[in-house]
Amino acid sequence: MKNYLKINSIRHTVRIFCALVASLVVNYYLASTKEAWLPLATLIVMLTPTGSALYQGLWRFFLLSSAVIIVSLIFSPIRSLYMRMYDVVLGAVIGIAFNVILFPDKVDIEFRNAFVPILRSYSLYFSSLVSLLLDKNSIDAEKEKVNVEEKLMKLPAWVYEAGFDLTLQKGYRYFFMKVGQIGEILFAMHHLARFTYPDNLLNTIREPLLQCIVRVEQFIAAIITVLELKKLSVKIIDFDLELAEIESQFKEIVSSAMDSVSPSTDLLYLTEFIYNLQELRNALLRLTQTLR
Amino acid sequence: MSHIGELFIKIRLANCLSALAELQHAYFTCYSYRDYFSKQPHYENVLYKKRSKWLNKQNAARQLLKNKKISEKWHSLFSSIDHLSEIIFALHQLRFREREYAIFEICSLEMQSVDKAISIAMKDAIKKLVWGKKLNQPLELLDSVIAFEAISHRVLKVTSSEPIIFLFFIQNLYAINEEINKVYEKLS
Repeated sequence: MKNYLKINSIRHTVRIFCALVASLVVNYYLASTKEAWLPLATLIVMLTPTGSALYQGLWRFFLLSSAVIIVSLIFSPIRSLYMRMYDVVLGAVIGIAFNVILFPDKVDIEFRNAFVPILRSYSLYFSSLVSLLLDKNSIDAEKEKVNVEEKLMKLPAWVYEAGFDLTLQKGYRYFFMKVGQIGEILFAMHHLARFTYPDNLLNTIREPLLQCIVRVEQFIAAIITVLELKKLSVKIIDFDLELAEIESQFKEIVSSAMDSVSPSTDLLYLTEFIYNLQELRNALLRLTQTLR
Repeated sequence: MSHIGELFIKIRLANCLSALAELQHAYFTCYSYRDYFSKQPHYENVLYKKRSKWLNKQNAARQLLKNKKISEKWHSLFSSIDHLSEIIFALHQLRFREREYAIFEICSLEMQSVDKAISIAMKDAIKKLVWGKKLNQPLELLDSVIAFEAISHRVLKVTSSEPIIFLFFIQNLYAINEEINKVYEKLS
């Protein structure tokens, strides 16, 4: 039972259920109308996204009150407006109080857990992209791309909701943005890896590029370890040395060609691939910095 | 494949293209915001919503195409749209690479015309897909890319701290033009 209560959606459901039971009891004894405005108000103010229960609850109360006032003024006598508003206020107080006090959202845990699957899929996608570039293995890349796309649809977008915790807002939104950026970098690399490059060009960067796969996997595994609040067994190893090696070997071959007015498409694409690799490293470094 | 089934596929693919057109327009809009770099998380949220919409449409189309009875023609068209989306992501890495608003201000007219030409080309492809409207090659797109390349050679190469990123941008614009042409060929 304790484990189930760690899942945010179950906590929210339990909260709503308890609040509805309480509001039905209060409705039976204290409601001024028997039109179920009280439990309805409780339910509506509780349908809030993660991390903004108070603000979103108050906002929903305001919208519901406005609707009740408008409908009552048009269709019924003024006396029933007072009675309905009494029920709505009572229901909203119960809903907001339960939402904030009973099993409140564990924003931090929810946020950390939400990013673990996408980071894992990034790691696999990256290695499949290198395989696509070096060995033209497109099946794995397509499969991993679908996997990443599915995970991208499940990112915790509630960090952008109005009323989200002000102390966490900036850091969480930045982290969210950087994770999205890594996804875009990988999609961009997929386009560049589809292109067929001359073997001599690929052979110059093959070894350090394969080494990069290992480093990126280690990097992402370390970020996941931190997100899961576990202790890091090994220090995060940067892949700046591998990148420097790729750049120096690549430069030797292409320096003269890149200086020309219009360098060839394959050179430009491979240069962009390496540029994206650097940006991937920078984005991963930013992620680790935000976790400190 | 029944006529209704084919219509259903066409609608899903058109939805996919339409969401992608919206996404690419949203990316181009970023370059015209003076405060984009200071309020990046805010603008990225708008892009995230557009990207999620596109991902949903893309996923819906992919689910439909899992049916083995569906003609290879639609699979091929979907692959082209998928590749087009990758190029659009590659193209708009520019917003993370160039952090000087003044650079975008210099080429804002050319940027707008490229954005408009890509949007028109994609909307025409949707019309062809759903209504069977006759298609001409998107010459306007190629013209706008050439115009952007011209300003890049004249001004951006000198003013930008990293001129190579505009070479990448232009290369990706040509790739978009090529991929849109492939979509047109598959539709005709």
